[in-house]
Amino acid sequence: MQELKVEKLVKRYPGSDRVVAVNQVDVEVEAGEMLVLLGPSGCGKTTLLRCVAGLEDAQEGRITLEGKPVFDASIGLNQPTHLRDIGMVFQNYSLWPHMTVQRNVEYPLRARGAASAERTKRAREVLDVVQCGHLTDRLPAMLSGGQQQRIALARALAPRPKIMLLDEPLSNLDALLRVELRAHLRAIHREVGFTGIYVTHDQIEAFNLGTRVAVMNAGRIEQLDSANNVYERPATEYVAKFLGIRNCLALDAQGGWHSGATKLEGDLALLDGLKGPLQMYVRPQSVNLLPTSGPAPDAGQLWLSGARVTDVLYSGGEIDYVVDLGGNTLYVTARASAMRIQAGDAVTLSFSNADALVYAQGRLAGA
Amino acid sequence: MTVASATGRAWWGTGGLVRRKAIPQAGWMVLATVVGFLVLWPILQLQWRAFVDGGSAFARVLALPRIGTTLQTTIVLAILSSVLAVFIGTLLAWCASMLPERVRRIGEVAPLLPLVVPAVAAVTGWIFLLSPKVGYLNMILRKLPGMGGMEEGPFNIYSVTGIIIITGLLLSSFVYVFVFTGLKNMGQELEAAAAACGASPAMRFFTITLPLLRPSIIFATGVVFLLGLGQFTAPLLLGRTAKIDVLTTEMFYLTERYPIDFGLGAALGFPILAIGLLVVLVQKLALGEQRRFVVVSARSRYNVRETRPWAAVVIGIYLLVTTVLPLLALIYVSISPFWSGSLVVPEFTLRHWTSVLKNVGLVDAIWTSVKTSVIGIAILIPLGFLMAFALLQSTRIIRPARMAIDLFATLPIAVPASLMGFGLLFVYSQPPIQIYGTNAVLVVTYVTLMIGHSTRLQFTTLVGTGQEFLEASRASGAGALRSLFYVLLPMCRKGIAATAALTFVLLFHEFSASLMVRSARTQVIGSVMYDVWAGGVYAEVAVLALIMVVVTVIGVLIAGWLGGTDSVQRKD
Repeated sequence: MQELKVEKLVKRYPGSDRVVAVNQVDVEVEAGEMLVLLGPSGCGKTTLLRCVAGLEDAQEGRITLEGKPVFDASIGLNQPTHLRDIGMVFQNYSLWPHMTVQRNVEYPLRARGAASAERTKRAREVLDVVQCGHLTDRLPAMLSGGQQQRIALARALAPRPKIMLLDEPLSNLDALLRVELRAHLRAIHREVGFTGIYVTHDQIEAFNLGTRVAVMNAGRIEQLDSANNVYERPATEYVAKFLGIRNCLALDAQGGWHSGATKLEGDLALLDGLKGPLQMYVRPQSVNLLPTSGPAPDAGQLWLSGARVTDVLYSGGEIDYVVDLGGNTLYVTARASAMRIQAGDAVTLSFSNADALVYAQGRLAGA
Repeated sequence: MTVASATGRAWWGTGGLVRRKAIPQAGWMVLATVVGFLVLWPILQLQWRAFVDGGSAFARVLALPRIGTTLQTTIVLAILSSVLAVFIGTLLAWCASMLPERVRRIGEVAPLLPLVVPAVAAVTGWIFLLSPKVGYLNMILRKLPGMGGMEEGPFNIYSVTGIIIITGLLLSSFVYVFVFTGLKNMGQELEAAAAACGASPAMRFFTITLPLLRPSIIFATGVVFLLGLGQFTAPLLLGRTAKIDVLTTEMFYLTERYPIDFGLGAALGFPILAIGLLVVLVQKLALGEQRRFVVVSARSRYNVRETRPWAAVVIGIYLLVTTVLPLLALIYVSISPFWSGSLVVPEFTLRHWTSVLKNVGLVDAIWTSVKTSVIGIAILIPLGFLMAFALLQSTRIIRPARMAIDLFATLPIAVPASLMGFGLLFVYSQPPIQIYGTNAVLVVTYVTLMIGHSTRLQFTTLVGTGQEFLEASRASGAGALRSLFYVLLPMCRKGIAATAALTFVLLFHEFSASLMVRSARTQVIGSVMYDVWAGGVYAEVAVLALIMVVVTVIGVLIAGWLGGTDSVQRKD
């Protein structure tokens, strides 16, 4: 059963009729699932979350929580935030500075009319879950950013809400803490099993935490799929670009497939039946550099010859090669020990056809 | 680089450092000394008079008839009017935060409009409305069914209750300014968090909003309590008929007798001064633990407070009661042949207007008001700017100078204008600085009264501007002066203009201190208005009050025009 159902939701900001922050969005979240809304700033992911929370009023559509409508533009239904039984974690933590940690966490229970003893017990419980049981009497100003975010999480979890809404909860923390809290959050989600929507612009966060990931663009959901599928098979060129697949080859069919003046050779089965122009995307990690003098690549490979290495960048255990292919700049990431190739060397680029993502008119071919 | 060449550079060497630091430090000390003299000299000199001769002045105070009642009225008036003002001001701020989009811009400014009407004018307007026998509003109310047979009332403005309500209304705008600013700065994210936790709007207001507004409310309460304690205008104009006196009116009556018993006045003022200092101290202590009020972000993306059309109605009623009705009453009286107590006037006349404008004494007083206010502002703005700047330099200005500047920026706010005026009259009417009887005494009075406000307001602007911009300018190689003129002043332009506008309003409306230090040759509009009022020519009082309103509006508009548009200030 769906915990949350959003149907044909439209949100326009006043004064700008053309900019539609949320455009005809349909999405469902199953019980126990963590749905991640992923996208760059301004794509409408936070607005969608706030519409679910009731902190933003949409103009069209319907939102249903546990089968009960909380928003329905057609009949003018708009349940206020405090009646929706949600838990929300804010980017800026939003802990009330005048209340101790304990009082902050008890607050949603108090709002729901829980008895004092029960409030204390439950607050202790969730504070232990987030490993902050020792901080009960502190004021928020005495806590570190990471601690504040844990308390904010505990506060949202305390009343066992129907749905947890997390609005870029880790983006104000430094890199190391982010990794730590991400793992912790994942563990808590497994342990407690809450249903949640998680907004982020960080794809690693999205793939780590999301049961499913929805990639948003200009108010619409471009792709909604399991984390694995979104990573392996980006449905659109936009998603591929957003995920940082940097190598793009524009292909034309003129006496065989060409990228610019360079001919694409090898196992071309995946292009069968397609008409140009096409865009082919390959991750830097999937590309191999071969010396031009070397043997021909294996079966099931695609290759382009006549490329030249323009720069070699060492970054820890890996090397990034910047390669020029007839004016098109491509990137190759390889293990540091793999090859001895220097700037200026002529090379052949090869990759498995399973790693090539082909887009026709912006959509993944064969999908 | 060799050691020799490094130490050889002047800016590096010890000598250079000392020279660079010594001159500005001396400058700040001079600034602290000058302002300290302005503020402390009149207060200390006057209070000294209360304590010489073994405190005989206090014995004379105790011998005054009805002194117990006067003291009691002073304190009751201060407490009740500030309670009323805090209640109304907070309610208005809350309403302003719930205004529907269409009326938001107007609605947020509306509660400030009463400040444009001088207290003297507002009180006069209220007398026209609520004087027990001939007040227009009373006459209309008596015509209602069930009111038959009443000869006067139902309201009597010449009563302690009347004075409390009028004073409370006059002070409520100040509370609104502080509380509304507090609300705006707080943003709505913390309320949104409470809503997401399931808190109803009422629960949010009482558990989140109100506690977080505590600093603003405490500060506002302190300010209006001090103003209520030194309240002079309403008790003077409303209390005479029913023989209601407060300490400040007693002091004023002393100045009308010759020779003036300064010792007695000082002793009368002593309780006000003592309570005033106590209030400032309590305020500082109460606001001590600031970290409970550190609020995350001012720029909130959240909008959780529901808009309520009735919020606009509340603000509308407030505006009607405090501003529109008194102004209408003033206009009506100013064009009636005389204030007769009749609702229907046979014919309107402009003769009061022509009579005022032909009266050389009155026109001179208006000009004196404008001139001294403008000169006062010309001194106050740079002086306050420097003091505010000094308060911000926590590392670069020596601590004693900063603490002194802080004290001198606080004291004038703690000392009521009427008491300060009495002290100024005392010190400047005798050697070594005998300027009583010249316009200079008015300018000095205005600067002394307002230096605290000028500093505080510009301090807020400077804090909002942020130190980094100035540091970026210095790091780009600009000197102190270039940074000041090219970076700091342009960025603070709007805030400075707002300070100038508010200072102009406060100075042009200044009544209490002006009435103390005026002389036969140096009159301002407030003081001549009192004379005309005491002479019973109410229609001309109305004309003068309206002129005050018009000039105020013009002054505010000019300041707004000098301040330019919002564009420079928009930081997000």
